[in-house]
Amino acid sequence: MQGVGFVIARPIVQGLASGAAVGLVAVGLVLVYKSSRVFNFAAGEFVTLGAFGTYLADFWLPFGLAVIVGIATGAIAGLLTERLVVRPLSSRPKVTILVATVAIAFAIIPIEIIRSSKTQAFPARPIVHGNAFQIFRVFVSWQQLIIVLALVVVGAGLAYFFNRTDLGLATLASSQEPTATRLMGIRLNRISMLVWGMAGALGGLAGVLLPPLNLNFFAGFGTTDVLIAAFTAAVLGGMTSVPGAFVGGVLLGIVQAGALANVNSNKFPGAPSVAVLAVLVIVLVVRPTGLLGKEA
Amino acid sequence: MAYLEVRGLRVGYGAIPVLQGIDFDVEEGKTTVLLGLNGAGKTTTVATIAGLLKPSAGTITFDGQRIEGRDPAQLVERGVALVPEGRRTFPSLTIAQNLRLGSWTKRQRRQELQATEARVYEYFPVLEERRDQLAGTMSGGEQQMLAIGRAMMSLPRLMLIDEASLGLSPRLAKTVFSIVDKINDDGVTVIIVEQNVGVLRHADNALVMEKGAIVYQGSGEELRKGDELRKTYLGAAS
Ligand SMILES: Nc1ncnc2c1ncn2[C@@H]1O[C@H](COP(=O)(O)OP(=O)(O)OP(=O)(O)O)[C@@H](O)[C@H]1O
Ligand SMILES: [Mg+2]
Repeated sequence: MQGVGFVIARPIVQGLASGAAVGLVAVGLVLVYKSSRVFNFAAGEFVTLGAFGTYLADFWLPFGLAVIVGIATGAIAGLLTERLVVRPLSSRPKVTILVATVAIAFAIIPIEIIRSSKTQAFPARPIVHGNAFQIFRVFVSWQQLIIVLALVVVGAGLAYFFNRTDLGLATLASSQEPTATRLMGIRLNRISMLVWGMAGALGGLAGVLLPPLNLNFFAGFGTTDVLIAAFTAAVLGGMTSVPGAFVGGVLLGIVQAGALANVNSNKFPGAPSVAVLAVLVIVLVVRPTGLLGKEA
Repeated sequence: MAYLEVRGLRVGYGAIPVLQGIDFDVEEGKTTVLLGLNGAGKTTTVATIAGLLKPSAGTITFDGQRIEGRDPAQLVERGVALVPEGRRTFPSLTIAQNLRLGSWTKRQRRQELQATEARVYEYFPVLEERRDQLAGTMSGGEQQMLAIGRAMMSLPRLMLIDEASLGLSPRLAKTVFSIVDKINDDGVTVIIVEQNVGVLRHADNALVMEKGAIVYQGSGEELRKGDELRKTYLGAAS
């Protein structure tokens, strides 16, 4: 018989890690939404491309560099999306841009599938193998620990960027008063590139960190397995709050892991996805502004 | 050649023409007030000078160089600052952060910025008291002061102020105008858009706009004293 500690601790440990990775993607969604008022449905494929970038680079480069390639792949995908799709459509209705980001995902996924097959699983290597420590008889792997650390580091980095640097202030300003921001001499196009590049890099980072938890990944997994959870996390956090997206991601991860651990998956498959949707519906009904629903 | 020369300026929104080819001059170091009723085209004029709108025809020459159609980033760098209609401060940033962003194009000029920041706080002590307060939580008058202070931080040579007194009590409007005088005394050329004729006491020169055209260009004093002129251009109410 497992102890109560184990029953509670296991979903928390697993959920913290996968939720932290979802939180990274959610933060990317929030940054883009604040800056462009666009729901970015291409975000899931920034994740998949990050995973592929690392997977492919690992054949040629030391793994540490392959990780950087994965993050950079996501960043480049974000930059290209801004430059080739979002900016040319910037004077169009937001829904047009939203649909265009869906189109990007639907264009990238078949390319990934051509390179593999719909069901091929690509092995994903953890950054460090093995377990780091045990808590309430739950093993915590190095990879899980690294993901949580990555979230903390990214969170601290973003807090510093937005509160302490001129560029961070300019980014916040551009989402609050675009015209006044231009009058300060700040070029909105550059801020937009920066934001999409950051969102892409965060997606790429999630794509590097998340797959090793399941030991592998599939073409299009960022869209099928991560995107909805990330949107829910972003909405949970209020859609415009960076800290809210982090918190939302972690909470959602724990809910998913709880559903996975406590529901018999033979009788009721897909419980984690149902749990995500349940959270989304509850947030939209009970507190549509999210947990921290204000511009922050 | 005047410091700012506007010639044949035509500006519209989409297919709707607003400015019908206007001409005027602004002298260096002076305060020029731009008067006119609602919809006359005052905001359109200053927004075009600041680079927010692109003219379809005409030229704007600032300090000997053509500037029409350039983007605001280049213009701020050259010393053209606009305090926009409606203040447009950054509501979720603190006062200090708002001022910091004002200096964006002049970030390297640390010493001048320090001196200017001290001057902003001297002119508007309330901004110093509340430097860590979010701009969005300040009163309309305080936000107007912040918007002017933020423009000062770009180390401008030409400051355009659109409707400084809108929504301010007459007393506060006077305070703001007297600070505009100080900014002008510091060597900044000022164009101030107003509907409040009281501003004429603070102006060297005056322009009056009507339906997208300049209908009066002359001294502020003359317009203030000449009842006939005032009635003709600004209506009986003034
Ligand atoms: N974005 C816009 N699109 C279409 N027409 C506009 C736009 N902005 C202003 N106009 C029109 O241009 C004309 C001049 O407007 P402008 O804002 O320059 O006037 P103003 O003199 O500043 O008026 P006010 O004193 O009310 O601020 C008005 O007829 C207005 O309806
Ligand atoms: Mg106006």
